[in-house]
Amino acid sequence: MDSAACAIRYSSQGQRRGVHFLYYPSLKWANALDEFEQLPDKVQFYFKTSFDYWNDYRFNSDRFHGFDRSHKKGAYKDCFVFRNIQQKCRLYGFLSRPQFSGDVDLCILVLFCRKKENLTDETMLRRINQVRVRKDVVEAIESFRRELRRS
Amino acid sequence: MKHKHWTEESADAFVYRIASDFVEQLEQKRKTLKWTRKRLAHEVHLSTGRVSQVINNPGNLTLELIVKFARALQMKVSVLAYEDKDPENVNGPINAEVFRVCWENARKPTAKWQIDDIRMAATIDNMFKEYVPVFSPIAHATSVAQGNALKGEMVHAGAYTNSF
Repeated sequence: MDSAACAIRYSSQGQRRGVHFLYYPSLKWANALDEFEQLPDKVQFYFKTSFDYWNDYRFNSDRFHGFDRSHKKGAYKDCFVFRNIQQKCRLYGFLSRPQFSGDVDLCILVLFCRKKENLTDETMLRRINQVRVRKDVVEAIESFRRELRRS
Repeated sequence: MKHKHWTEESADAFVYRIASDFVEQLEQKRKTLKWTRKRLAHEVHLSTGRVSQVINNPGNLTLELIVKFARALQMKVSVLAYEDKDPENVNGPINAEVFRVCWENARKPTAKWQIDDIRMAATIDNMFKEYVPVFSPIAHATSVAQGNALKGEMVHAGAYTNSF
């Protein structure tokens, strides 16, 4: 799969939801996967636990949240962030809704950043919005969904 | 292609995940009691820094600390092993919260004999269900017959349906 220009890399899949990474080497700022793999084990474990909680529908705004219609009139309603407040780092991504009954909700992680402030940097969200509608990204998700259905 | 859950990569990973579930339960209770971390630290005779360290890095929890924290928050702890038909660990550990909620829904049995009673009640319930024919006028007939069954009278729902 890595030979593709753009693909979804498996990370954490529950029965109804899954969190995975966008692999897009030619898009420099789509760095979530690379940066995540370089994080210390304990920080990775923290994020992976958060992925499990999201997959399990366990609400925990300290660990993750979306950007509903109250935020910038819903301009970023498909964006999502997993955060580690202690380590001051975040993983930004977007939600991909199921298209067929029996399909799962996916959260595709795109961007990693380190930040101290609590406020969200809108640049990140704008980038996420750009990438989520790209034709190659949409196709990569489709292909990934087909793979999930088969398994 | 079957992917294994990330907790399969090492014992450390598994410990981190189940300890995180425990810490989530602690934090929930601490917030319910409106205790600060400082107050919790005072109750467990540790420094606030040490408490934050444990909460932020649950992988370092020992059984002794787990018990100390739980008791300080007026809770108890069980160490539980289970089989979930997932020997390859594709799905990861079942969240501790699931066990807690199920136990509460089962009216919090505290002894083996209470579990036996629950099993017996379930058996009676199942026996009753076997007596309900598919064609019975379902809702009303079922509730009345169930009431009789609970009183100790095993009612054949077919006979009941005839008198309905």
